[in-house]
Amino acid sequence: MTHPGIASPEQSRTGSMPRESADPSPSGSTVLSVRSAVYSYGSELALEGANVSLGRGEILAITGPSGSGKSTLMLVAAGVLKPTAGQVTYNDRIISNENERQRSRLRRSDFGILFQFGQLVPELTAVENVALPLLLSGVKRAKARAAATAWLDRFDVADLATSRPPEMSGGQSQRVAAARALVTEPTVLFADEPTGALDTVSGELVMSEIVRVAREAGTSIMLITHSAKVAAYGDREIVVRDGRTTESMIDLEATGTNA
Amino acid sequence: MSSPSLATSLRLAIAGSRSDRMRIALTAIGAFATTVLFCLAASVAFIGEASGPYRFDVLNQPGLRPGVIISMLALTIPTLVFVGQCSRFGAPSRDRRLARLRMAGAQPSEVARIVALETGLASLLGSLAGAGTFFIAKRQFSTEHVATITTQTELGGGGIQIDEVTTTVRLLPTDVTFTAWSIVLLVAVVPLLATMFSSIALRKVIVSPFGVARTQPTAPPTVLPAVLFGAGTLALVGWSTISEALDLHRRALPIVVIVSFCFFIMIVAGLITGGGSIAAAAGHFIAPRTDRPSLLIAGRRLISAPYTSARATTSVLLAVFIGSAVQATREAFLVGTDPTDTFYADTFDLLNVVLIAAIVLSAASLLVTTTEAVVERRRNLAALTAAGTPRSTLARSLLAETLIPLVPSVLLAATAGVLSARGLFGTRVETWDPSTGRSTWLDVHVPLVETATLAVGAIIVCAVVSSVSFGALQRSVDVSELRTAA
Amino acid sequence: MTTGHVLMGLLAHEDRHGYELKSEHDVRFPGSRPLAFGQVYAALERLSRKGFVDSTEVENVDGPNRTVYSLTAEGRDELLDWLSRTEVPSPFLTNPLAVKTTMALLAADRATATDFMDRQRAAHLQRMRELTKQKLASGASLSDVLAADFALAHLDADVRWLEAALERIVHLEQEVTT
Repeated sequence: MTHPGIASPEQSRTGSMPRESADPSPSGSTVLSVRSAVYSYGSELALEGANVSLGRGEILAITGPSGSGKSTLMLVAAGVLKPTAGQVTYNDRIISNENERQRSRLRRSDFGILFQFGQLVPELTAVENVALPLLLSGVKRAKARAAATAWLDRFDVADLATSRPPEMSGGQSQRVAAARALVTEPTVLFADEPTGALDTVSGELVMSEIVRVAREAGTSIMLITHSAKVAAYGDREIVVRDGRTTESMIDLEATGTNA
Repeated sequence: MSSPSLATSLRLAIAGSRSDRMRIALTAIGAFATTVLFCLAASVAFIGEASGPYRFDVLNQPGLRPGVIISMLALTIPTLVFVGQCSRFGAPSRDRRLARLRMAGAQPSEVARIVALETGLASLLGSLAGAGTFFIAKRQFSTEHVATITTQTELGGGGIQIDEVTTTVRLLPTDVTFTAWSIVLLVAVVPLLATMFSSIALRKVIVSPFGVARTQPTAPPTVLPAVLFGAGTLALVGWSTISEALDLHRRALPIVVIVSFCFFIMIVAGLITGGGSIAAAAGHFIAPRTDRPSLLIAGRRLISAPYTSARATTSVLLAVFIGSAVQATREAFLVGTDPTDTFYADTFDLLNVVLIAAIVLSAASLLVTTTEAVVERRRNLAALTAAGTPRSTLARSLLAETLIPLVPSVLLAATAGVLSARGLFGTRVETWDPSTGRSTWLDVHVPLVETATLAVGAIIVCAVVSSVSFGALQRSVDVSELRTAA
Repeated sequence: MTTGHVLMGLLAHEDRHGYELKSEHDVRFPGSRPLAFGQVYAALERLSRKGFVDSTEVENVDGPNRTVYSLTAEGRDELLDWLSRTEVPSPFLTNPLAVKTTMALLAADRATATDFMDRQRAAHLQRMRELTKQKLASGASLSDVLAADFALAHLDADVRWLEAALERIVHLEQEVTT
């Protein structure tokens, strides 16, 4: 039941991974890694030493109860926040040392970010919203619109091209938001509770489409969620508790059948 | 059905967040300025036979005082607009609070009363402070100086005798007395007007338990403003033809003033109602054509809410229109006047100071609007920034949103102002040269430099003010906005 | 619910013989335990005695004759009656997971219990990943998706219970220490 042509990381590592490691590198090359990251909002410590590494093409679920620091971890990993201590590396770049301008440019070119809601510009049409990141990178209008339309089509919302976000349902606007996050063909997609504001079935449809499209494009996903059902779309899970990461390990005894 | 007591309404009116306190403070400041202006106008109005003389000659001439009073009152228009704008500041958080009150069982009328009470109380505070400051200042500045002034005495044969007299004068009419009733009226007028405006503004707002919806016309009128503006301007440009056709020369002066004033009002009405149309038209022109994200966002925002920026710049437009008319009038008055006689020049200079003050005050209400627009969509802005949208792009889009509709409107207002004044006062003036005993016709110059300075100055002031709201932008794109689930 | 009612349901549209009933059941309910032949025949025998199903011998050229079963009018009434009755929410939920977690807390220390819970969560998630993959697979039928949904919902409930249990342990600990 694995996707053809895509190695399923958890299958290759099930038997061999050492349990004590905080976050062992997944199979294949690592795209992004967070090492001993600490972050505080003023005096409030949100991350107290987080370790994550994300493999190329891997879908990694970051879970944890609300207030555990998982969203902060994502913002640190995506270079939105600069960690108070620790290191964030993307390919060979240490992005935690870069300034906001450099990180902003990196986020635009190499990353896609998807939030629970409220990221689409309400006054822009769907196709303009999706074309926005391309326009920001200097792509000409006609070309950007054509690419945006193609991405709307991949998410089955091409018929909404001229609609504006307030006219769309929650599921529709998340599809448009997903198209916008992926239109630059990012290496990594960061998704923070992408289906959190949707009902079960439309949430599943959006989630499965994001996964399908990302698998096709070889995009890695860092998926932030409190729900085990959403986390199950990932290849691997990291649990954040009180600002610290712990790898959710497969218990061979408990599962019995996985050896 | 019992209503909440005044104390409860009061408690609910002042219970709010930082932006609510900010709104109350700004409302009070606006009321303060307006009340001071009303007091100044009143003190000029109260100048009687026994008062004076004053350092400013314009105050010594009974015939010129109505002009001074009207200028003062005209200046209260932007300050009153500012008070009105303030009731919109921080609206999202107040809207949520009002919605919660409705959810908790408050009637729409009770919610409306809470809002009216808040505006009324805030402006009452400002008014009291304004009146207090005025009367303290009145006492402080009431000292007399010795100065040389000119006096005019009407002679029997219709001539005027002008004398230079050195006497004790006051700087300003600080010697007039205010009756108790006039003081009460002066303190009460701004709170009453503000409460009335906010109640009217709230009629367009539906406060439901689930939130606040503003009924806004989607497509602004285009024909009506164009007709008003065009007809008014044409009528004043062709004033000489019209006055001949209607035989206005022979009629009493008030009729002439009323007819020409009506045309002015048409132009003003055209400018006010046309602001939204210009914004929408500019948006429709730019949005589908631009490659630049900042212009795309600005254009689309102008289309979806054409009145938002138009409302904020209305008083700027009025100031530019009146100001341009004043510049052209000044040219007409000065062209035949002896350059050594500085009376008209001084008076027009004073008017210009008033105009500059009006533009600055108008710009303050623009600041309120732009800041609020940024705060209102902070989550969206934070998400865009997180996704790699440069802050400079967002800042440029804010600036474009203000300037795109403002620039053509200002140009129209300035052109209309100059043309109508020239139409009204003529492009040629007949002067009598005593040395030759012949009258000659002189061309009235088009005040290009002055009008351009005024128009460009107004645009620059608005651009600067709009840039100040980038401060709010910097705070709003903070990622902590993403953590708060709205 | 009895096996008999399930078999009557499978006979509602089409007459079938015993083996067909067994394989149809296993396809329709991929998440549940496969039926044993003995179970099927015993249940059919009972239904036949009550008059809910009729059986007919069909000649088979290649081998032994087969018995084909069909639903009678009484059987259809009984089936509809059964379908209209709500299921009693189980008053006694004896899940080995819940029992083991409680025992871990009682019999061992907190660290042992939380360690067990962490690993149990990981095992659940692994199973949920497999089920999600099955659901997303291109050939998945409605039955597959419904069965996977059912299993996912139950595993998700387990995981949420585990998370709540972990939080309660932390709370209790804080109450004791402060």
